Order: sequence, then structure tokens, then C-alpha cells
Amino acid sequence: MKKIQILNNQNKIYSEITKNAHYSNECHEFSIRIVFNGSEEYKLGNKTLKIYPENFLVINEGTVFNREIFSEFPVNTISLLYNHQFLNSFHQSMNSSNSILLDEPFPIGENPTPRFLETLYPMKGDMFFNMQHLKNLFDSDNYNDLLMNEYLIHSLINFYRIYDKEVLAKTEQLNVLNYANRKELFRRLNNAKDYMLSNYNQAINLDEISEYACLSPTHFYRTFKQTFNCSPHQYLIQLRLSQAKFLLKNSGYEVREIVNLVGFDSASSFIRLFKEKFGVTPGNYRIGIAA
Amino acid sequence: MPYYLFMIKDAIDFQLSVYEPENTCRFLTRYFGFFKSGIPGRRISDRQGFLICNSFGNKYFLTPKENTISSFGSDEIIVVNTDDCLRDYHLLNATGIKFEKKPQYTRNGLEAIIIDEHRNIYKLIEKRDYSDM
Repeated sequence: MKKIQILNNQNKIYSEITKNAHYSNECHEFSIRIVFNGSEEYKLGNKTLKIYPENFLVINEGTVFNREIFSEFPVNTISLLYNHQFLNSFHQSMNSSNSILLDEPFPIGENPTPRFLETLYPMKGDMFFNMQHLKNLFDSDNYNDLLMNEYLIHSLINFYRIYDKEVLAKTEQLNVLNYANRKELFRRLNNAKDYMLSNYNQAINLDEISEYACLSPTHFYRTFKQTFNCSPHQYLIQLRLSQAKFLLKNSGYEVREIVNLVGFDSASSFIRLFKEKFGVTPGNYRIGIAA
Repeated sequence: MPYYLFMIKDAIDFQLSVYEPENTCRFLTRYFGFFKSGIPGRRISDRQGFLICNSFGNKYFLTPKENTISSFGSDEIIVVNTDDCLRDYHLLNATGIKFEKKPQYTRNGLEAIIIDEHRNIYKLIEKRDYSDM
């Protein structure tokens, strides 16, 4: 099932619920892509990214990509597409002083479209809550152009905050003097992070991840820790535990099934790590939610 | 237009000192889904006021406030909980309610401020639990 709403300002919302879909060579405006359950795989150039409900993907205007869903159960996705002029105007309002905005409310000439790192961002905080509201409104079929637009604007506000925290601040954190090198190093580290986010349930190792990032294992290990404040291994464990927590809360899978689904080798180490991290065993965590 | 559920506080029979209780009562029943309870203008414990209740059955007694100069931030604020601040901001805005502050993110969630014509301050708040993220 597909639903599309085009707002008066040409921003668009696409929603789809499907078990099986493949789309090739898509190219749109700047977009934010969300999955509410299951996963969707994207191919951007030679990069493969898998979106789960804990993440969202951002794709710049003009990027060509493929995407597909193959699932046993219907996967619900939403994409927010922002009109070129709208995004430019929003970007200007976020990055210019009040005096500039007052002096030049309608800048002369074409501004370059803002471009962001095309990567997986954490679906958390206000972004998470706003997306839930947007989904509820969209599902209710109670279309209201102004309200939809309000949600879209706030989604962008939330994204800019996440971008500042996850990209700009972390790039600055890297102990490399040259800005271009710092940016390139962050891009590669981020590729490694995306690789882990997309393959966390597989048996992946440090060599494999560092190769994907085009960095030597030791250089990768050191700079990853410097940027994300934990080792790649710790990052992977946290990822698996978070996903396990999500499944315990939002699915009917048994604990032993979740152990396999999130990529742990043994149930005992999973239970121990889960308790260390969240202070409660997986079983008791689920009982606590149900109570 | 009771398209959403509201409550002011969890306390039962909470007393609120407001400017122009009758108009405040009208404002709360018209826009925030409250119901008038009992006889309008009744006395409770020798105080004149208006009793209203929300959809959860919590009762609130609105009594007249001393007509002192109101200063934003130090005055008593009527907290109105919502499950979607943006939606209610938008819907209330569409009915002509003017917001003193548009929805803003705080560490508790999303909040917007309304000041009515009698200088009563309402804080529309969508509490968000960020602890699980």
C-alpha cells in the first residue's frame, strides 16, 4: 500500500507498507527516510545502508540510489522530501543572523543546495517523537497541509540538531590539524559506523570493518575511539544490545530468538551484557514493560 | 472541540487562583476539553469560584486571584498536558488563540505558552521521556 501527499509548498510525504519491493535509479529532492518496523536496504553508489527503526537515512538532492525491501512481514516506511527552495530558505534561516535575514529576506541569485553526509543517523530524542506523531497523523488520513508542514519543519529542526552533534562536533573532535583531512577521516570512520549499523547482526570483525573504511586496523581503532568515545567492538556490542532492547519491547520474539537476531554468539553472554548495561535481565525488562 | 484529552495536574480537587475565574472557566471548557462541574459560581469553604473537571474526573476549583501586576515567569502558571504539542498548537492557533511562545524544545519535552486576555498564563506541555534513548 502506498500513500503520497504533496503539500502546497511542494514538500512531499511518501508512505509505503510492503513485504517485497525493489526500486532502481531513484533520484529526488533532499529526503529523510524512516522505517517503523523491519528494515529497508539502500544502495548509494558502492555504499549499502540498511535502515532499522533506530536510525534514519538522509539523501541529498540529485543522488541516485536503489532501495529494496524483502521481508516476511509488512514493513512500514515513510520518506519526507523537501522542495529545493524550501530547504534553501530553511538552511539560510538556520545559518544566518537576524540582521542578514532582515536585510535580505529574499536573496538574489541561486544559492547552492545544502549538502549533508549521506549516512545513518540515530532516531532518538525529539526526532523520534515527532516522527511518531507524523506517522499517526498520516495513518489517520486526516490530512492537514499546515499541520503536516509543521511536522516537516520540526523534523528538519531536529535533523539539524542531530547533524550538529553527530557530524560537525565529532569532526571537530578529531585530532587532525588539516580541515580537509579531518573531514575525509570522519567520512571514512562514518562509513565504518554505517557498515556496523547495517550488519550488526552478522559475524563481523575489526579487519573487515577497517578495510571497508579504507583505514589500517590500528589507525581505524585509534581514531574511531577518539571520535565515538568507544572502541569499534564496544560500539558493536552497544548496537546489538540496543536492538535487543527494542525487540524485547516491540516484538513477540523469545529471548533466545533475539540472541540470534541481533548477532550474539551465546545467550549467557547476551544476558550478562544486557544486565551490565541496563541493570536488569532481558526477561525482567520485558516483564517490567508489560506490567 | 474535545478532539484531545487534557488534564491540568494529577491532583484531585486542585485549587487554582486565576484572573477572571468565570472567563477562565469558559476558556478551559471551550479549548481544553474541560467540563463545568456542579453549580456555576458556587461557594466552597467560603470562597467564591468555579468548579471544573477534566475527562479523567479530576476536579479543579478556580478562585479569583488578587489583581496584582503580573510578571511573566513569576506568576502562577496553569499547566496543560497534551500528547502532541505541535498538533494542539496548530489547532488552537487556527481558532485564533495567540501564543506568547511557539512550541520550543526543553529538557522535559515540547512547550508552548499562551497568555489570555486576563493575563492568565497557560503552559501547553508535551512531556517526553528521553531516558530510554
